[in-house]
Amino acid sequence: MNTTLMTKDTSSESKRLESLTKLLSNNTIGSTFYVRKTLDSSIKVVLAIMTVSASLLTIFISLYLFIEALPVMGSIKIWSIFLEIIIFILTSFIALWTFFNKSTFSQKFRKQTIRNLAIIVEMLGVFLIVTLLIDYTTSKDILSLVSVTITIIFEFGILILLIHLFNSKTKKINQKYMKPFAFLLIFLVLSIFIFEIIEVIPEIYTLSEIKQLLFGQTWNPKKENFGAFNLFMGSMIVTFYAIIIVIPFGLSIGIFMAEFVPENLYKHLKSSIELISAIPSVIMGLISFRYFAKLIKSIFFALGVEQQYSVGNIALTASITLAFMTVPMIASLTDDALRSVPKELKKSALALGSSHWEVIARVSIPYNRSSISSAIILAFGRIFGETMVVLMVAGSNPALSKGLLNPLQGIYALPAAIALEVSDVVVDDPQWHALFYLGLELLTISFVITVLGRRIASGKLTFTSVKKLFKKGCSYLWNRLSKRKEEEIKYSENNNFARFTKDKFMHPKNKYFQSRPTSPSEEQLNTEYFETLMCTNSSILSKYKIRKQRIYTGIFTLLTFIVLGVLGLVFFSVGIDGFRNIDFQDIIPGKPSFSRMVQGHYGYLTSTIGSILVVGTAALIGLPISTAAGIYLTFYLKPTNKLGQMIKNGIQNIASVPSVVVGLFGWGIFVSTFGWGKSVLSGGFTLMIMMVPIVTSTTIEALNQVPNDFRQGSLALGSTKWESIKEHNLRYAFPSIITGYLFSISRVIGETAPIILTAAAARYAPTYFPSGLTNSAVAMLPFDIYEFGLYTDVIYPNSFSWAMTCALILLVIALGLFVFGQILRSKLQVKYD
Amino acid sequence: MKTTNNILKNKFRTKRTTERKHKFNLSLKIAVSVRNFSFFYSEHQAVKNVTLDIPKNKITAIIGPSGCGKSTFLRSFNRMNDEIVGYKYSGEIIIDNQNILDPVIDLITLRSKVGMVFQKPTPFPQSIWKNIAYGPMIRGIKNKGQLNQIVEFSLKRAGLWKEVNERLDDKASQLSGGQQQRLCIARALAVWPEIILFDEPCASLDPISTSVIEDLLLDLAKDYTVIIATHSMHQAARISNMTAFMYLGELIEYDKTEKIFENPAKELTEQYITGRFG
Ligand SMILES: Nc1ncnc2c1ncn2[C@@H]1O[C@H](COP(=O)(O)OP(=O)(O)O)[C@@H](O)[C@H]1O
Ligand SMILES: [Mg+2]
Repeated sequence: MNTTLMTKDTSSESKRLESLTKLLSNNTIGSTFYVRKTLDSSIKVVLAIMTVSASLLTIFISLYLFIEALPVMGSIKIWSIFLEIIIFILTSFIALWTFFNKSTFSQKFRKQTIRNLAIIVEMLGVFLIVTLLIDYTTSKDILSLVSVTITIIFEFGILILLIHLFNSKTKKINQKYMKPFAFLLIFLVLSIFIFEIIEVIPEIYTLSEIKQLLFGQTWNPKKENFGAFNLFMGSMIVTFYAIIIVIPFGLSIGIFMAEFVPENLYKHLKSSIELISAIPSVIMGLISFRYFAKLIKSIFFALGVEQQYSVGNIALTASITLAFMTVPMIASLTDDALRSVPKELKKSALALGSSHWEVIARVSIPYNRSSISSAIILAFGRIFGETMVVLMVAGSNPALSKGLLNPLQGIYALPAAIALEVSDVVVDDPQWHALFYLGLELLTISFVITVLGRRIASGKLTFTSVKKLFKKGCSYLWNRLSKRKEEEIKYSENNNFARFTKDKFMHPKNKYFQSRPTSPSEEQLNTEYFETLMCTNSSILSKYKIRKQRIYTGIFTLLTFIVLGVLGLVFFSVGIDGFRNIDFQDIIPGKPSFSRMVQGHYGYLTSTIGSILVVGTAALIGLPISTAAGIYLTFYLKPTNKLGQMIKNGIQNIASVPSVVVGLFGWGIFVSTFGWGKSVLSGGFTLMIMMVPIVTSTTIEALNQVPNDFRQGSLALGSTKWESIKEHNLRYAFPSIITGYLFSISRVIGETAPIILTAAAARYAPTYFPSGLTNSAVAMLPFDIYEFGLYTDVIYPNSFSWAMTCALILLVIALGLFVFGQILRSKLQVKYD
Repeated sequence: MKTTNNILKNKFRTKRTTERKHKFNLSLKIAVSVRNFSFFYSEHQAVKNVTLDIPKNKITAIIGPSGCGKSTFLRSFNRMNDEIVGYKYSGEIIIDNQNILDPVIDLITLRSKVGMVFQKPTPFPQSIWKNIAYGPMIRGIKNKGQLNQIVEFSLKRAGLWKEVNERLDDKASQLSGGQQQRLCIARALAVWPEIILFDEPCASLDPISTSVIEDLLLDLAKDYTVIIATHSMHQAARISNMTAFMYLGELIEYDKTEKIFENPAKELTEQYITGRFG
């Protein structure tokens, strides 16, 4: 090629060409090449490590809580046996199912099952050995040692069989070989269990402890009465009423935004509703403590029941506040869902003569039933784990003397108990373990609710699918019992399968359904849609229908304006109260005179700096990890991959861990175990955990928005994978990723429960900075709001105005970051045209 | 074939490839030889047992109705298919006496030797200059003068120099569709390829831009081996020296272009040429 080129061109040109050729061929060789290759592969490893460690966080948190809670939950041995029995029942069920279903399962599948079973049993055995050894070291019980020996021998036997099975992949394993092996496995496990159970029987009485924890009604840590039932019920009351209140508001605003608001107003409405979610919960707690509670009190006074409810700090106050805070979540999910309804569907409904409202009620909402119900369930989980509001306004009375479902009484909620009692507990006290038990319970409930909600949202769990599964199981059993021919069974199964696939196919979440090409453009459809709307409105609709529609529209508008009005009032009160009382002298940390200290006058600036320090530490650790996880999951381990999906879920599960549980974890690990005390590092690491899921998912979202063409083009030019990602996807997604950072910081800077537990304390030193990274508590804005907001002015004059000023500063920072992020995204986004 | 293969085996491997890269045998008339090549997308077999030789410094067109596996086949020449999840291939694709389907092949070197231009023009959302200089820059060339030389050479070779030399710092997205596509060609030229793959390069362009690109391809074929996948048989007839007709993943016929269009051996080919299906 080069020779032909040279002969053709002039001599100077050809010289230049020669030098170019040399240059390019030189530069593909040499150190750059190896540097690039090594960088590419090492970055992959680093990303993988960060991602996996992030995804294991939830498991680590729950395991830690479980271990710390064990001492109050009965004997360790019982729990391990309990776990093993569950696994045993599951495995033997699968084993029996597989082995006696020659006709249904292929030889290969049965072989695989038996292998997996053996692996599970093996792991079980290792677990058993470890627990028994722990038991032996603590009790020096000779029986444990004997059982360890026996278990190890059994394990060894299984291991040999397992190795044999793995090796004989190519060998044909026939029925004769498989069956004895299966029975042997089951026999081994059974004998271990019988042995274990005999050993554990003397400790069975400790199970009453867990019964007491779950259902006991008295919570009195000082007397070691740990009955958490009323705490659980308290949380349930608050959450239940909050959901009842939020449903009409959230749904109406969602419908209003999706269907009735003109396009030009839509954006503003949406972002102002979303502002609510950016208000730190401690500020909402303060506002509701100062105003809502008093309002409710005076309402009761007006109603003449003043003696009964002389204090406004009741479950209902908390419910109303939490409902307000959850409105944006439900509203925007509903809005998104309604906007996803295909235009054709709405048009055809309109063409049948339905009114606009009827289209919404009969078509759009049923179409999105699963997304809307999952939004409500997810909101339930969120409210259940929310700490600050129940801590500040729901009272602290675990008695529930006015009935188990009465919202007109003070309650003591699970998260509030954790946040409140951690401060004066002794390490390894029974109360310490009881608090971890509370954390575990809270975590389990939130987790189950979130998983449920997510499954419903993804269409994996619907009412019909549950019904179908049930029916299928019943019909299968029936077929078995009545000994029908196998063909018949197959037929009915096939039939079910056909119906099932059809169902999947027609499901709105189905990919095919969504990506079906629509020939007219979006805009065209839009105008057509509205024309049809107008047309039906004027000619076909009866007056009655129009009136009905007007009433609904009116209600939606009203509810939207109520929420916006409350939002305005919150801003107004924080702004006015915060600004009016600002004392610019307090910005400077004052001299440590006692009277000033009592009033908390050590400078707003100190608290602001403290907040920034802790959140900055969190960001410094959390942002790289979660960005790495986002990159790794987008480009290296695609979510189409099973493992990738699992890791992604693992990271997103952290988001369902209530903040107070994260705080509890941080308190146990960083503050106590690591001995860092309340400090910048403890707080930073704790808040980091909260940042990871937010930033990971925003990063994934941002990276997916960049068309893959650029990366492909770059790969075709011979870049390494990492270069193509760095130069293109990362660069173009950069503004969105930064927006994700800002959002997460804005979320985390207002987090109060975790920092009460791990970082903040009233610190009366007249300096800007804490004295060290560890063992030096920090003054922080959310803590000041919580701490000083609850005092009456009689005890500490000006404490309320102090809290309000801190609230103002915090609100400005949080909202500022939030709004700045939004602006940045819309301004800086690279346009791909 | 096997023995030569073994002798030169390490050519594309990270170590020795690069040393030998530009010392390829000029007397070799075959640029790519494909032997029993099959490609599977998880279950679906998109290319079925294809065997053919692609001549050096000629234009070879792959034609066939849409979905017949042209793009898949083309992407195999620089292993761009490796970016897809769940694929599998068998057979051999030999470039420079090297089976490039060998897992040890270094993809970076391969792709800088076998360039590719896609159906949709994909200029990076950066300046024209940066688009061209991108390839050399990731290779570690930092000297601005050298980069300028490369940019000028590539743009001239792609026939775009006159149109853009005044505004090299403008955004590439401001160019017209045809110019963008020539920019992508220039970008590919800047990394010094020997073979350039074109996957329907004119499918999203207007007729005038199409003819400009076609002229450019004819010109490029003097120095490069050009392989073009197109569903327009007229385009194939206009510019190619060799034509391969694919149908449902199979190679039906492969011959000189005149032969294919004037006197096809297979009935299926004739039906396609005369427009009775596809
Ligand atoms: N990423 C992919 N995954 C699975 N199947 C694919 C993918 N890309 C293409 N195919 C299938 O492979 C066949 C050949 O596709 P393609 O090579 O794009 O054909 P052509 O370029 O000739 O239109 C088609 O049947 C197509 O559906
Ligand atoms: Mg194609």
